[in-house]
Amino acid sequence: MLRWNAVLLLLFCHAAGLNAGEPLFVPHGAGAMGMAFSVTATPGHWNCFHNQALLATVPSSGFSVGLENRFMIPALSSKAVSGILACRPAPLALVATHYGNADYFRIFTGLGSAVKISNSISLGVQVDYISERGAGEYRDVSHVTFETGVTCLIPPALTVGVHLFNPLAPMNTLPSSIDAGLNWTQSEGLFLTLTGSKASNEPLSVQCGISWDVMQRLTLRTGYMSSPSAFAFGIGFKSGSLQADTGFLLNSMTGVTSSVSITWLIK
Amino acid sequence: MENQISFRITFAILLMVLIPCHLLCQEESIALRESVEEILALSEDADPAAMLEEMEGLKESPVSINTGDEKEISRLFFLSEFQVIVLADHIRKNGSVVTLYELALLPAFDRNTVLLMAPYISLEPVAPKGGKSYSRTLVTMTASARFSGNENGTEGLRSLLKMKHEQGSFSFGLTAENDPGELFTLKNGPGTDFLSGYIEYEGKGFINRIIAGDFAVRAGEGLLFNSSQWLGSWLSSPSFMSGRSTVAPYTSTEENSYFRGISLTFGNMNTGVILFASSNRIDARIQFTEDSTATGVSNLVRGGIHITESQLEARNSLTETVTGLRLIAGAEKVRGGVTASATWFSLPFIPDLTEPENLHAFAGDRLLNLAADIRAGTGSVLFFAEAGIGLASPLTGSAGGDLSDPQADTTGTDPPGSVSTVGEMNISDSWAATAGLRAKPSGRVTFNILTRHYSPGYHAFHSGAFRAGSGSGNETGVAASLHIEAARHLFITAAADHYRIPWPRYRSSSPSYGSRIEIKGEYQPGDDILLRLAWTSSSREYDAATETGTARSVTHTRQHLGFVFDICPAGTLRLTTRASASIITPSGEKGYLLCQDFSCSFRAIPLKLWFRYALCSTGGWDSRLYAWENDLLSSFSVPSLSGEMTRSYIMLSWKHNDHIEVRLKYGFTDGTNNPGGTFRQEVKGQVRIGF
Repeated sequence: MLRWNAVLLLLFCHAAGLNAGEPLFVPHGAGAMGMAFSVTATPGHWNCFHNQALLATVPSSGFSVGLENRFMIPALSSKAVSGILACRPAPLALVATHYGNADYFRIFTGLGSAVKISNSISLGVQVDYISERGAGEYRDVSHVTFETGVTCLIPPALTVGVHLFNPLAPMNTLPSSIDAGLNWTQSEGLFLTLTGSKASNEPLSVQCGISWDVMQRLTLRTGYMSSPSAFAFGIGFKSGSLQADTGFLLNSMTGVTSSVSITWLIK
Repeated sequence: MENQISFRITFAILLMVLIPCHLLCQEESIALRESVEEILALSEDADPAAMLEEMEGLKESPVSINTGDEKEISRLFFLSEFQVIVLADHIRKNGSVVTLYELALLPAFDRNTVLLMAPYISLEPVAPKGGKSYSRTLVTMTASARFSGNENGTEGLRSLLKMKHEQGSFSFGLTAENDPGELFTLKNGPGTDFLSGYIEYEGKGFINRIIAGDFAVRAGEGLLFNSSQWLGSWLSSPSFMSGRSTVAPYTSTEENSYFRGISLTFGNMNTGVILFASSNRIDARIQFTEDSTATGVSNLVRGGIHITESQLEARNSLTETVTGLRLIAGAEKVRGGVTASATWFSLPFIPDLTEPENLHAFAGDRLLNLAADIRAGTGSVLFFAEAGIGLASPLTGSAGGDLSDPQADTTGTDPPGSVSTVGEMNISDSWAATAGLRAKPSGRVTFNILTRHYSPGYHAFHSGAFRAGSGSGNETGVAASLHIEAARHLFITAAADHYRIPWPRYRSSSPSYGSRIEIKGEYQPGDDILLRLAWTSSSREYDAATETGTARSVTHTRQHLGFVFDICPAGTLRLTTRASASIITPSGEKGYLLCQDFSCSFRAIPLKLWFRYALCSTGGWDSRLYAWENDLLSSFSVPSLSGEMTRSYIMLSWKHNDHIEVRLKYGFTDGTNNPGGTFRQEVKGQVRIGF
C-alpha cells in the first residue's frame, strides 16, 4: 500500500507541474500508429517507449528500425532505431530518432529501464536527450529530461497504464504530457485499447484502438484519436523472429501520415 | 387554461385507474429511435418517412423467421444476403429459433442487429401448410386533424387509406393520402392528392417477382438505388452494409421517390436479373419564359404538400422516365452485381450558375448511371464495395435545349462538369465509390468501417448510400464503429465519421469539413430493465454571418446527451423516463427535455394505452430536441420541441380480435410561453381491418 501511495503521489505531483510548450511529437512504431497511439498499457517492443513500465513485461530482447512520413512530406519524415535488452530484473531500452531535414532537424535519444515492484505493478523510467538544430541564425538547443510510467495488471485481462513525459517542464521549454490508458485482452488474438492524453496547451485527446490477429501471422489494427481527429489503420506480419508493421493516420485536413517498422526479436 | 389543467388531471386519473394491466408489445429499438431524433436534429432535409413506414409495415405483419424461407426472412430489408442465408440455413438445420439470444450467436449477427429485428419478427412455430392457398386482406383507414390558434398550412384533416390483399402468389395494394389542407377533387386528379398502387406476382421458379404499378429498388450499397436511403446515415447502426438488393412494392406516402411502371425479377439471390421501367410524374420548380412556356427545371421539390399556389404549380410538373437493369451473380461467400440505368426528364435541368454551389449541379435532361458492387466474406469478416458513374447529358439536343444558356461561362475557365462543358464525357468528376468492412473478431466485439468518395459531379436521383450530407455527390469520408459487450449486461457502442465536402454547398462557400462522434452505453441487467446513456457530437463548417466581404468559415458543433431509464415494474406496465440535453457552439445555445412515458394493456379487455408527458426548454431552434412517439399503425411521429414547451399525448388501441383494431390518439403541444407561440392539438383515429 505504501508503494502504491508513493507511486501515485509521484505521478500526481508531476502532473500538477505540467507547463507550457510546443507539443513534442515523437513517433514510436508503426504498430502503435495503427492503433492511433492508444498503447499506454499495451505490451510491445515500440510501445515500451510510450510507457517505460511496459519494459518489465517484454519477453525477449529485440531491435527495430522505423520510418515515418508525416503528411507524405519527405521533409517531415522521422527515422528511428531502438533496442531492448531483456535482462532481469531491469531490462534496458535504447531509442534514437531523427526528425526533419538538412535545415532543421531534431535528434531524440533515450535510455530507459523498468522494474516490477509487485506481481501486478511495474514502474519504468527513461532519460531523454533532445537536440534541435536550425539553419541560419536560429539557435541550436538541447534538453535533458526524463519520462516515467507505471502499469498495473487487473485480472483477468485488463491492464492500466499511466505515463508522464517531461515533468521538468518548469525548468525547460519542452512540453509535458500525461497519458492514462487501458488495455483489454478480450480474447486470444484480440485486444482493445483506450487512452486519454493531455499535452501542455493542447486539448485532451481520447484515443482508442483494436488489434486483431486474423491469422497466426497477420494482425489487423485500427484506431481513432479525437485530437487531432484522425482514423488509424495498420497491418502487422510475423515470420519467425521478424515482425513487420505498417500504420497509417488519416486526417481529413492534413492527409495521410504513414509509418513502417521492422523488428527483430531474439528468442 | 382551465381546460388544459382538467385534461392533465383526467389523464392522471385515467392512468392511476388503469395501472393493473397486462404486458406491452415490443417497440422499436431505442438505439434506432435516438438515431432518428439526432439525424432529424442535424439535417433539416432528412426524410426518414419511407424507411420508417417500411418498418411500420413490418410491425403490422411480422416476419415469421421459423419458416426458414429465405424469401420470407428477406422481408427484413435491413439484413444483407449473407445474414438471410445464414439465418435460413440455421433454421433448416437446427429447427425453430426459440429466443432472440440464439440469433445473436449466429455468424454475421450480433446483439444490435437482433435488437433491430426484434419488433418485426415472430418466433411462433410454423404450422404445416395445407394444400389450399390462403388469402388475406388488410385495410387501414386513418384520419388525423390538427388545431392551433393561428392559421397556417399545417392545419386541417389528413386522411390515409392503405389496403393490401394477398392470395397465393398474387397480391395487390393501394395507398391514398390527402395531407392537411389538400383538397379531395376529381378535377385533373384521381380524387386524393396522392394515389399509389401495385399488383405483385411472386413465383417459386425462374420468375421470382413481377410488380406492376409502384415499386422501390435497392441495389448494391445504394450508389444508384436505395429506397431506404435514410438508414445509410445511421452512424451507430449494427452494420454499414446496405440491406439486400431487391425490388419491392411501394407502400409509403412519400410522394416523389419511387418508380411507377413494371419490374421483373428473375432468378434467385445468387444468380438473377432485375429489369424495370418507370415513368413517374414528380414535383419540380419549373422555369418559364415571358410567354409562359416551360423551359426547364431549377430544382426538384420534396415534401409532397400541395396547398399554396407555388406548391400546386410544382405538383407533378416533371416526368421522370427510368429504365434499369441489374445482373447478380455469386456463390455462397462472394456475390456481385452490375447495375445500369438511364433516366430521361421531360424538361431539362437548368441550374443557376451564378451560385458557386451549382457549378456541379445536374444539368440537362438525361442521365446514364452504371455501377458495380461486390460482397464477400465469411461470418466473421464481410467486405462490401460499390463503384459507379453518373453521366449527365448535354443541354443540346434535349427538349428546350436549343435555348442558349444566358449564364454560360464564356471565359473558358469553367470547372469540368458545368453546364457549358457537359457535352464532353467527364468521368473524373462523375464517379463515386464506397467500400467497407464488417468484422466480428469475437462474440462480444463487432467492428465496422466504411470509406466513401462521391465526386461533386456525381448524380443519381434515387441513391441512398452511406453519407453524412444529403444529395448524391460532393463528399469524401471515413466512418467506423465499434460495438462491445464490455461486461455482463453492459454494452458500449462508439462510432466516428469524418468527412470532407470538396465543393461549395448551401451555407458554405468553400470546401468544408465535418465530423460526427457517438458514444453510447447500455446496461440491461434483465429483460425488464434498461439504462442507457448516449453522447453525440456533430460538427460542420458553415459560412460565418458577415455583412460584407468573403465569408469566414465557422465550425458549428451540436452536442447531445441523452439518458433513458426503461422498466417494467410488474410485467403489466412499462415506464420510460428520459432526459436529454443539447449544447450548440459557438452560439452557446442550450436546451433540455424531460419526458415520461407509460404504456400498459389489460387482461380483461383488449385495450392498450400509451401516455406521455414531456417538458422542454431550449435557447432557440438550433438546440431543439426531438422525441420519438408511439403513433398509429403505419405511421410515425417525431415532433420537434424548442423554446419553452410541454407536449403530451394519450393513445388507445382497441384490438377486438385478430381482424379489427382501432386506435385513437390525442396530443397537444403547449408553446404559449414562447413569443407568438400557440397551443396546438391533434386528434388521430385509425381503423385496421384484416380478413
